[in-house]
Amino acid sequence: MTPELLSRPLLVARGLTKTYVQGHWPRRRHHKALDGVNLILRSGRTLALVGASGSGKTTLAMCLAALERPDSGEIWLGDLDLASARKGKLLRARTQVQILFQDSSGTLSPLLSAAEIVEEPLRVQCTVPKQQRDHAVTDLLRQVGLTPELKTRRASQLSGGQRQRLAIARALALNPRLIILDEPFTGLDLSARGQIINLLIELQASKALSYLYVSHDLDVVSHFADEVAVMHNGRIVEWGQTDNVIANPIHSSTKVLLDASTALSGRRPSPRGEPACVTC
Amino acid sequence: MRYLLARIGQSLLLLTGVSLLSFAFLQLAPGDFFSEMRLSPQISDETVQGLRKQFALDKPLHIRYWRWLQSTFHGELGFSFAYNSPVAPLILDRAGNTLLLTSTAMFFAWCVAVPLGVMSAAAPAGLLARFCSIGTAAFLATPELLLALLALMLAVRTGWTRSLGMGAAVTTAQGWQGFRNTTTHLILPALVLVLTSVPVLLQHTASAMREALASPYIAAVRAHGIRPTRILFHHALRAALNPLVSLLGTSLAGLLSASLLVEVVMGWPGIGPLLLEAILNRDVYVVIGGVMLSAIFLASGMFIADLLLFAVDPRIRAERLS
Repeated sequence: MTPELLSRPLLVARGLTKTYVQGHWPRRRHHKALDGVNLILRSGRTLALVGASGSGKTTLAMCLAALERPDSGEIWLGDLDLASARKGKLLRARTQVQILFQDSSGTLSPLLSAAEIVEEPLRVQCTVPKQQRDHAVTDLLRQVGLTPELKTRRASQLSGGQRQRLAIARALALNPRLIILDEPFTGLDLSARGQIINLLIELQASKALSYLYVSHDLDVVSHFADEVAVMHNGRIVEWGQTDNVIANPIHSSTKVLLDASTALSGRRPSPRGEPACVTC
Repeated sequence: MRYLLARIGQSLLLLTGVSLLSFAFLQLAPGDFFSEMRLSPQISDETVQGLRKQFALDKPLHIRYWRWLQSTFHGELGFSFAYNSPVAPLILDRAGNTLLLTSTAMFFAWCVAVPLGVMSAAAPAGLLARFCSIGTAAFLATPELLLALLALMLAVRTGWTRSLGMGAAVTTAQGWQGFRNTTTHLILPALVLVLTSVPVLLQHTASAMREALASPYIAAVRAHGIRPTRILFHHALRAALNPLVSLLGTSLAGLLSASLLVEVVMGWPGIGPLLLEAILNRDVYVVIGGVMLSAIFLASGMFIADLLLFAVDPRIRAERLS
């Protein structure tokens, strides 16, 4: 990919706010999940969104995937503002942004076979003629390292790693430009986690995909992301190249996250380019 | 096949248990059908004793149960003292009417409850959801007896439908005229049953749908750009079907017990009036027959629910076929 293509913004978010009303009268209170978030996602790059629980990461991810509408602000994907687009345009735009959730067993229909799960988006969006769908499904499964023999199995009959691969195949079915990864490696064993990360890196290189990686795990972030944005109380409080942020954290919440990661793994997350940290 | 046999075995066990319990409980109640005869000065004690002996009421419980089992195997289900006839034909004559009423009410109740439950779960803060919530609370708080009386009053005042005298119309008229008579007489009791069962079904549907719609699986499906109606009815409803199908089985039995009261109030010639009369007269074998019919409804409801689960859920299908 050429450098100018890499630096071109794919998605630009400006001034996003989102407030949830919690509880009922008279104990009703307003929780500001997003408080004026600005964000730029570049083509073919990975931006990690880190922060403590309740900092607004998942809300931001859901807004960027057009699964939640922000109260105010703009989300430009090409020439379409996802925050204010009408339903019809939004339905079509959703194909460009896919999301991979933490709990792969919960995100795959327990009633459908692996082939049906991957075929569903193809059928609904009519991107592939009916006669070629079976071939397209086999091809997608192969791309994520699943054999065609698994086509008839349901999600519950697959391992955690296979389920996450299946979720990736389903996300790839619509040729998205951006995949939002909402802590997709949680619950996987170290070997499966390493394999999935390598698969995502390979897919990014071959399909020019952009990733928004939502996580607490700074070890994986340090290996996987080009840039990192730190969220705290609904705001992005620190943003920069991954190596810089990890080596010289400025905001207190970044330091807290790094300290927590050091306490858990016994060492500080290392800069990019040291793959040992992913699987060890 | 093995599953089918096991299921039939379970149903037989359930029916045996219900019949044993019915016998035991009725034995605990003081007096019997002939007790009131003692009060009449025209009937001597010897006559009453003779009648009790004739119908084996002087025998111990296990012998009476054994004799009832024998008569059940002969297709009689015991003997009615009041009607001087075997119980089975008495109950079967009326069971058809009860089945017609309950199945009609059940069909319409599900037809109303499922779309309303789905739509109110889809927009929990919407006008329809609020309307359903208030309506559900109001109908749940209203006793069905009051609802039946209100419906009767409304029908009589407005002359919308023939509200009483269904017995003759249902049993005598034939052909198109018979169908018309039955339908017009069916509307009111069926409406009351629908109104009493819709709130429960609606709440269950809405709750199962809310759970399904909140699952990450639905968020992932939404991300594909699938239309909301397809997400609701094809994906979320399919995911919410399991608890609803199980509810269908038990609601069949519940609707039967609810229909008994409605039948009595509205004069529908089902087993309700027969059972009430039998309870008041202590016509024990008719009561046991009615209870057995209710147990058969429950067992069939659960069996139908099992078959439906087998049809709609591939996980259960794979498990049973393996």
